[in-house]
Amino acid sequence: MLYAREFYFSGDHQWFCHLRLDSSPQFAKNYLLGELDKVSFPGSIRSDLADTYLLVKDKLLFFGKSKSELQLGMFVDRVDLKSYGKSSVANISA
Amino acid sequence: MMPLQVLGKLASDTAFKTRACERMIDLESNDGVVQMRLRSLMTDMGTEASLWLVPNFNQPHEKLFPFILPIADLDHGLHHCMLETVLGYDEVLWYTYEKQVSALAKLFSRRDVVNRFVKFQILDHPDIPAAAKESLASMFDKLCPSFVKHRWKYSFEVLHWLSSRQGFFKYLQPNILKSDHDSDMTRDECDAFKQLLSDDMQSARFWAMAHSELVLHTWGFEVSEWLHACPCHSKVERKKMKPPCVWNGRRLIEVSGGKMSAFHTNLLSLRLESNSSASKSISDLREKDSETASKIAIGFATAKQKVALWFKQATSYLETYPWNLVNVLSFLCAPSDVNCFKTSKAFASSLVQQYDAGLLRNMGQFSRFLDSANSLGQSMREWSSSDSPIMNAELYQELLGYGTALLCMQRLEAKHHLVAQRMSTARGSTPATISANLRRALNSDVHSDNFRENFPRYMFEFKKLVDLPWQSRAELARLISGYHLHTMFANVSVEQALIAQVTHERNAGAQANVQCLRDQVAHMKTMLAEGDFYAMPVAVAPNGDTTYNVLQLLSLQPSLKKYMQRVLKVDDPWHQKLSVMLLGQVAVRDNTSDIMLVDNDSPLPLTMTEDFSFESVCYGQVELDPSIFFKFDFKHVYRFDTVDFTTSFVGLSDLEVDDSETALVDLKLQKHCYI
Repeated sequence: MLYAREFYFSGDHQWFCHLRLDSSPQFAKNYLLGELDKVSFPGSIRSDLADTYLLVKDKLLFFGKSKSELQLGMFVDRVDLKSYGKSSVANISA
Repeated sequence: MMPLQVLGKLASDTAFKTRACERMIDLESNDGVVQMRLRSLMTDMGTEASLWLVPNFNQPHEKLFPFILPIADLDHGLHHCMLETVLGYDEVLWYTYEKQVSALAKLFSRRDVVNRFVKFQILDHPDIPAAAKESLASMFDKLCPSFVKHRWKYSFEVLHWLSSRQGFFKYLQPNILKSDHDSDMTRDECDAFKQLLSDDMQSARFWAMAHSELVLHTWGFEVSEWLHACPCHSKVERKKMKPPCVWNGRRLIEVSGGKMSAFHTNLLSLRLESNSSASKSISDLREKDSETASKIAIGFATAKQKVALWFKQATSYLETYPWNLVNVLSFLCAPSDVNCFKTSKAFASSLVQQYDAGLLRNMGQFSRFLDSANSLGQSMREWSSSDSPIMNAELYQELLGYGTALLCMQRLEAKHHLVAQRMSTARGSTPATISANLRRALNSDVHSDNFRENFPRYMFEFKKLVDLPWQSRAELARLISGYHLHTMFANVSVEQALIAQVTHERNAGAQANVQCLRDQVAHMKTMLAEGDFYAMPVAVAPNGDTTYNVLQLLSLQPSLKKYMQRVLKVDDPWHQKLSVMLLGQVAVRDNTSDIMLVDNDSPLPLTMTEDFSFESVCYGQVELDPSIFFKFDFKHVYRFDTVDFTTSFVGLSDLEVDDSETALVDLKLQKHCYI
């Protein structure tokens, strides 16, 4: 938890999260279980490229470090419509 | 993965659960950063659903989670939809069928019974060619799955297993049972099973019911499979993937663009006649018992409509604002061509226009995507009005933040089950231990070098975890996992009052005419039955001509279910309404009799003739105000005694479409009785 506070859920990089909550009463107690998914954008937004980010279908790249963390790759260069294809994936910001 | 929170049996209301959830989050992050970064909160429709609207206890005019999209678990939604099928069929038919399925599943899930059946009815059978015996016997290598009648997926798997081996069951003999009464079966199941074996008509009824149910269940399975899959890999690719694709279950972008409506349309287009097995089994039954065959055909159509109603209630909100904002990213899931951007921009443009016209307001923080005073709104307007394929990064990330939300919580449910199992068997396991184990299994942080380097420091910083004083680490573990209830939440009356105040504000104004509506619904409950077909007058012309609505009553109070529009109290189409399948209108004219006038000089509705019949080829689900039945004091409402479904296949060659056929369903209603 301390590690999570410091690195996973700190406020110093771009990420969003999704929470799922469920509970069930058992043995006179109510077990409330939560799961948090983190979606992070690993590429920092550079000012000169701030308006040129784009991500296209089947070119999403994932390098989730764990099952509960989803990291999205993204293009960092201006993308020409005609150039969509697997070769474009080279421009992935890690 | 976050820690378990354990609440006492009497402390599981919204206030306690909110505080427990807050504590979970505070353990994981500082300064409420998770609350602000949270983009979706998924729960079933239980108490946790209240957390969608719960106020921030420190600033009651704001929500605890200001930026969330509320999402109701679609696994639960589909579960409720599929359980509706039972309400469509004739009660006696259904329960006999259910006992027979249960008996067959119990028998064929046991290896000894299956081996005996294979030996005597396949390997030793004189009529089966020797070359085919081994391959036929191998079909029984896999045992029948368990049947749990309240779990539709178990039911689907059993039906799938049984129907693919239907040909073998004609060889089934009563001696498959070791004694008169099988120990696994109830007495009723045993009797129903023996009837199935001894009576050809019972057997035909069973298979007609099974195939009819399988048609609906197969649809449900397709929806479920699609929801748990990812938008980026094919089925074959997904099977090979290890670990599974992280996009599995994250299909909000496609769902918000209308995928659930497409499934809804698919459901409504299902026909017994267009499924070869179902069609054959109904035909076989019709030769032996045409009355029951008709009952099953009507039951199927009614069950289909009931499932469709629930499905719409469970999913329609996902295609409305603000959930449909992520549909602006539809180009991510569409073929990469110029049109995919045009579609996205046209959709964004329509949202902007609606917002500028004064619609789509009052949805909290979501106006930031459309308001021209906000940078996100400006970017959205730029995207909608330009031809450029470049989207502003901030807008893109915010939209994708929502678009990555999961729609089903099967994974969490599985963990829940694991917790339940551990807690029941391992008495030494505390919630804290189990929580820690789950965290280790799910998160790879303990394997990272960074974690290991910092580990000694964390060992001395436990005091940072909770503000409350603790004397031992066992006590700290209890504080973290929550079952130190009185210490943590000694009094939540303030929170309860705040929640009650917000709820009261939301309910204000919704109480008008409630008593009148209750009386009307109570009257209808005693006079009408869901699933039956009725004709009711809706208008009388000055010359006495009367227009009747012909309809099937699907639900008297669809708003009794829990669905998103009801919980959020926004645009609820089912609030104080009836759900019906409107089959059409018919005008009754009677030129021979004098027009009867009531006190206020308006003519009374004309009655229907004894031989009245009605045929419908076009129908759809609509919601009606209950008062429509009372327009003429609940008089002249007729119930149809005889209903039949027929399917005609009409070639479209005249329309120059080769090799195509279309199915038209004719609904014939004959006879009626006056209520």
